[in-house]
Amino acid sequence: MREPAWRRTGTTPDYRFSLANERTFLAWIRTSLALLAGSVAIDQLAPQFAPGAIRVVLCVVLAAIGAVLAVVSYRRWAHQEQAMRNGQELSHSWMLLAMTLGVSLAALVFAVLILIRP
Amino acid sequence: MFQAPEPRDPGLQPERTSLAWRRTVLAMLVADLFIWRGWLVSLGADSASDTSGLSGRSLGLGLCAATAAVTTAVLIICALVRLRVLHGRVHGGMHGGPGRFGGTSRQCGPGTLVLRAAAASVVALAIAAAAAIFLV
Repeated sequence: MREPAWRRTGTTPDYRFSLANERTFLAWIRTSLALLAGSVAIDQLAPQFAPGAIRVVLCVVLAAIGAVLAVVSYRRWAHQEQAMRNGQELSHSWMLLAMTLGVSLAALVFAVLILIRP
Repeated sequence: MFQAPEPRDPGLQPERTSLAWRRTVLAMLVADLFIWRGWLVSLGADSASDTSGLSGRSLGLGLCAATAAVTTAVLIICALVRLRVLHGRVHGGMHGGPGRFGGTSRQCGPGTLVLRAAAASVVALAIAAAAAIFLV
């Protein structure tokens, strides 16, 4: 596969910044993998945790968030590299807010389910 | 005139990056273990029941387990490609003296193919995980 055209624009960033951007991508990928592992683990290890259908839906939603996060982390890496190449400001990340809200909401739902468990 | 040498990278950037790749592979193995566990539990239930042969559930979970193995192999290959570059060219550049920082910086960044393959392997694992959740 050829490198996309934007990789030939601007100047190649300092390798330290390139590698920092790569590590940020990997940190998001690990967050995504943690969501995947958590979703399968809840489904398998806590079968009485919620009625079957609710448990499956919650776990599949967590896995779907993990999949979306993996795609978004690649796009974010590409955008940041483009910004660095062209000397532009790094774009504001809505990922931080979205993940904070998502994880908080998941924790709230799980807490409520544990409390109302018969 | 004596010119002060460019300071050596104090952040150990290649080492941190290669450790980040290793951690990522480990994180994927944790997710794999749960999927593989679901398959083994289902196989155990099959052998305990009277009916001979595999149930559809075990076949489906076996497919999920195989997908997880393939995605992990892809991620390990990505990590090995990056580790080779990080430990080879970058360190070579460092030992070659400060003047070669610029020369090596062009090659040591990640290629889009490697990062795309890594992200795609996680998406494929997510599909296998969702299927495993439905089947367990």
